[in-house]
Amino acid sequence: MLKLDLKHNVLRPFFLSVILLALVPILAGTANLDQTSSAVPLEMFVSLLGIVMLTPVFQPEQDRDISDLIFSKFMDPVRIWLTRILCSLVLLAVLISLFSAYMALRGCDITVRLVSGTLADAIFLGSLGMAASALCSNTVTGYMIPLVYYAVNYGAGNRLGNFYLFSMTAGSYSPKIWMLSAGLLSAAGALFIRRLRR
Amino acid sequence: MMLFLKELKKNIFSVSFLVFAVVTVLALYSQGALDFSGDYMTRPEPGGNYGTKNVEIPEIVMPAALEELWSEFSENRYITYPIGFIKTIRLNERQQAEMAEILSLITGEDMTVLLQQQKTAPENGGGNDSFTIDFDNNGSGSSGEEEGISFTVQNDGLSSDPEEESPSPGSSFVPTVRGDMEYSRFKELMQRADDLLGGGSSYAADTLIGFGAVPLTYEEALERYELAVIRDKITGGYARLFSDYAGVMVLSILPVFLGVSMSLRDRRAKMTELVHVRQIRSAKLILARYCAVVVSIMGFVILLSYISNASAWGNYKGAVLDYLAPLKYDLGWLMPQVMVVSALGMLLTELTDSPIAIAVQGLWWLMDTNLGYRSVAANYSLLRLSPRHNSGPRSWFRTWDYLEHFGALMANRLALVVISLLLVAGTILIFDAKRKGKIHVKIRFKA
Repeated sequence: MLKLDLKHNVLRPFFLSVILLALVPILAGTANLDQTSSAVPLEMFVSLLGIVMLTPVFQPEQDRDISDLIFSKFMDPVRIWLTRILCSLVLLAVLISLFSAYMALRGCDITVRLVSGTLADAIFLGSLGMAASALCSNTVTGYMIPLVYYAVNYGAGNRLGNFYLFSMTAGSYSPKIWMLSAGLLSAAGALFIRRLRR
Repeated sequence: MMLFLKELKKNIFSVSFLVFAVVTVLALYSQGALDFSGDYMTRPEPGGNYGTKNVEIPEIVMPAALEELWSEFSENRYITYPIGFIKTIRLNERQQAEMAEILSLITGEDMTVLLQQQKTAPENGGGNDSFTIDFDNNGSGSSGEEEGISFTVQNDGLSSDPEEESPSPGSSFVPTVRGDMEYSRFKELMQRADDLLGGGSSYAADTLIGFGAVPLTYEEALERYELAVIRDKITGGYARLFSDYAGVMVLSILPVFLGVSMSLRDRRAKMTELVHVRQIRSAKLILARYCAVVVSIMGFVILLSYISNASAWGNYKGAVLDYLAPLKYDLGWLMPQVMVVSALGMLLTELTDSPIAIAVQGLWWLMDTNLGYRSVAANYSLLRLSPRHNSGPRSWFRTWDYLEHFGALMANRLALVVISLLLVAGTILIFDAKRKGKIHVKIRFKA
């Protein structure tokens, strides 16, 4: 099941994420940066991978026929979605770690806090997309919410308090705990809503 | 017409449009762009502080630019903003020698002496590169200050305020511009330095003006105020400010979702084949759908722009206001980008049967948002998706900048209209080819 799911539902977002990562060094500095400057490419670009990887988790079941088929089976569909989410999370962590390692090799001051903070941002954005997608039964709309939240962060800045996506660029790491918690709650909420909607 | 009205109704009552409307209101509200009642313009009084303006006076620009370059050279740590985000550059030995040669030509000092000075300078401690991205510089409180930079990435460690600057590591040696240096030659050498750094530094010939800050006089401030009153009739300034926020935060990205949703709707309803075999011409169907997307978005935007603009009217009782200003800016400034973003969404969706347009548009938005914050000309450049003009009443809406670059802005908006029409034509061709079985896209995305 894992292999099939990977093939059909995770590989495309994964390849899109790889392309996005390949563009980051063109868009932002990724060499010889101190810790605060290193947060810029990680928070502002790499965290977007969360939207790409996690938002389409419920996409196959948005086809009514597939949804009916899945719900007619003995296995609880939540297990299928959890499998997809876990696969996406593992790949997300791998991609973020690899990119961080690349930056470290280029002389950037990369710490575990930076990497985990980026992962927290990605999970938060991705789970927002999942929740919107579950609520509207529409993956396209699902992408809209996290992208707009990202845009609002540009303008609102620190006014967003613990939910400011780019807090590490301002040297603050504690909001990431809030982002991660909110992200996990939002993902759980998305699963709950999707399960109810059948 | 009937088809257009049907498509318009379908679009307006769709979940995507509902989410678009809610998100648009929230995004603009969060930036204060729906209520300008607290921001009003006052006539400058003699003896006040009117901020600064940038003027390309060689006697001011040359020493300031040299000081900055010398400081960065000493640390071998150059800050550039190729697309708006910070990029720290460290040059290798050969490149540093080339930079030393440039400095030598500017100062008349021996190149080896300069290199030696650089090597004896203490190692840079890393500095504080934390920065904020400021959408909101009309509320910065710097009354009347020149706001040529509308989307600023501020680097705390490189404050532009000379009083806040820490002494450079090589401060024991202060280079000066050689007496016989001509400004044109200086610009040439600085451009060479910028090229060596890969572009995006403050040394590029067209950004050197940034080093020439001089105080604004009372007469100049008054002239700017009157320009905003006479030419903008005040409401034009607010309409421009609204267009800036709405353009960059919402209309550079959200219309793509409606374009994609519209194009995937047939698939979602499993009606693709049924639509394909109907007699209706491809051009008629696609145009009706495209117009429905653009009209529904623009209708909502016009409503919001009037809510925003009207919030300021009460502050100017007795003044001559232009009540059509919001509509003019909606149609002239915002509609071209709504057209191009929606058209791109429809074309890529028709071509790939997937929502890949969201990723493409997201990337375009990200790059465009961070482009060209250094000069007004860059903010209105030909292929700019969302021109920036983030200036409120405290800086007299920067009407003079707008008027001076109006031609460039019009060229930009017209270019976007032409591109969007080409994209729509492409969508029609693809749709037609699919109907005739000339193109078959393997459907994998389940809308």
